[in-house]
Amino acid sequence: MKTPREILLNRHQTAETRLDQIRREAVRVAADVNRRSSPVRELAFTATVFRPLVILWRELVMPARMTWAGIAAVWLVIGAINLTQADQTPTVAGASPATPQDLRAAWERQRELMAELALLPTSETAEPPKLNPQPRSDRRSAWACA
Amino acid sequence: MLAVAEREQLPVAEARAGQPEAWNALFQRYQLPLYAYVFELVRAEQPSLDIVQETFIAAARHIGGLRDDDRFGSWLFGIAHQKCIQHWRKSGREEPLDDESIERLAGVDDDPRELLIREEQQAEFMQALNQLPPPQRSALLLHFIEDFPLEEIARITGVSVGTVKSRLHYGKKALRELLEDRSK
Repeated sequence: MKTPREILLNRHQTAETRLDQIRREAVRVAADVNRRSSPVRELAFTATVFRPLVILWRELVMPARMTWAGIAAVWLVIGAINLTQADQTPTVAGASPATPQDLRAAWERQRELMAELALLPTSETAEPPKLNPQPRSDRRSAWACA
Repeated sequence: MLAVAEREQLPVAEARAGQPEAWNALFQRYQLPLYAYVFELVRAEQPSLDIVQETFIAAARHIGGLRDDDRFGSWLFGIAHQKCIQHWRKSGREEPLDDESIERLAGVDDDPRELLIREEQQAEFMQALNQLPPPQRSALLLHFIEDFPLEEIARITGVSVGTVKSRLHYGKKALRELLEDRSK
């Protein structure tokens, strides 16, 4: 007496040789898959590393996705406007370097300005404001009278 | 009741870690049962061997997706089952495994493993098995070959547990009737 399992497996025993070849080939492929930067382990690593991000995405972003999409759109518009304006403004780095003549002219202008400032009256020469003292208080004057 | 594979300690974690010896042990353990299952559904030698090979390679590539190591066997048979369906699709045949005609819920009144067949009845048993509709045959094969529990068979074949119960019940009943008819 035999079980159905025994009958079924015995029936296919003749295929064992070819199955052994298939197994060897599959083991070679499995080893190759593992050797080539191990996508299997990579998948497991990716799953571990990105799991918190996935949870965050699911719990934080997805419930209010329209709001987040709106905020993202606003930031995109702001970024685009910034980029457009930045293109129109001449940059310092883009300006040509000053020539010695320009430097000399600027220095001359600076010196003239300093000379003009030197001709202005200083605080020592200025006349001090006249003081007109007033009685400090009515009470004090009352004491003085007394 | 433990399934055949659940009584064993399979080196699934080692295989996941990339050890070729572990893969060799796993494939050796399942090559014949898997081939028997595929062959009895596909009924052609070369396509069956191809399906076994494709199943092994798919397992090596996607072992990272297996969550429970104890379910390696049913996971492997699930891949093979899908490959059988793809084979039918490619060959332009209808998918007999998707036949949902038998949906009546029935209890599995006894254990199919207790079915013992005499030496002279073995050929008749195989003939009777091959006469069953593919969905019943698939459920019975999984039960006979690996003694998978109902939930595992349901997962492998992609149907409900109730459907599996029904298929096992009617498949076994039909098998007994066919065997009795032949022995008369």
